[in-house]
Amino acid sequence: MSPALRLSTILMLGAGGLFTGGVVWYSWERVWIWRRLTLRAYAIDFRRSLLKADPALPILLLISAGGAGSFASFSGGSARMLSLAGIALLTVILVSSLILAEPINSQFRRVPEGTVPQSADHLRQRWRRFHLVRTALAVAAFALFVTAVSYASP
Amino acid sequence: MTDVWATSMLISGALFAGGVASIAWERLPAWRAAELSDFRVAFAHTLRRVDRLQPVLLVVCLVSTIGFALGADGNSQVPALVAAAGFLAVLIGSGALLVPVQRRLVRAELPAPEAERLRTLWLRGHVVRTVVAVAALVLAVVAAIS
Repeated sequence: MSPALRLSTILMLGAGGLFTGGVVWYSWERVWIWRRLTLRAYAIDFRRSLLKADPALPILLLISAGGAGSFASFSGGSARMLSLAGIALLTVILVSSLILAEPINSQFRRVPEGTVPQSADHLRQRWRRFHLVRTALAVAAFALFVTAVSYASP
Repeated sequence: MTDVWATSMLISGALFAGGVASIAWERLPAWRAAELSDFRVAFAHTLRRVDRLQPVLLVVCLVSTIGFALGADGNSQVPALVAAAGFLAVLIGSGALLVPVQRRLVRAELPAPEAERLRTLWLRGHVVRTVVAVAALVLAVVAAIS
């Protein structure tokens, strides 16, 4: 494996692994707890969580997708196809997050802390369903990247 | 067979390291700033969920990394063994140091200074565990492509 392909793989799997582990953790821990909170407690915790997660997870996604793009350009055959399929899934996550999740996020961000946005319970449900789908896509993308590496020539 | 071990090592390692890194990044600042009583309630809720999943992921990852190392050649074996040592250190450190602290924080009646000391100890321990877990994941990736 060339040094460039090696670096691409480390970025793709390292950042992709942390991104996937992060969204799975949200599904497993935060989403479960948020369902049980009062709307006011949820609005506070969700808003604070966004402030931390919003820069970190998209950055990890972009680093992983960039690494995967570089990996695809340096490899061929099944390894390239699998990594491109993984990039496609990450793109779906990114675009759908901007279209579906971000409007929900901004409703919580716009209000002062402690204020519950209108239809907060409905927004909580929609965000939860969306995040569970996004989690499944992230796990699938990471599995594609791992499989792609197993097809890359050593 | 090495591919099966590698796949299992990378997926379980990523989910484990990503999980502990997320707690370090997202929960730790909130817990550090919270009132002690609020922290203990929130901490107990998180433990209820995380303690069901993270230890399983860590054990699967450790076994897979050892399995991968045993079947690998020299170039892959060394980083895989170092990664396995890192995951093992996290497992032993968590069981020996952090779990007893967690139990006391969640269950025991504690004077405030002692609870504060335990909170600080746990937060620091978790940061160390996160650094080791992420480094072990990177080494596992290096091993898989060497």
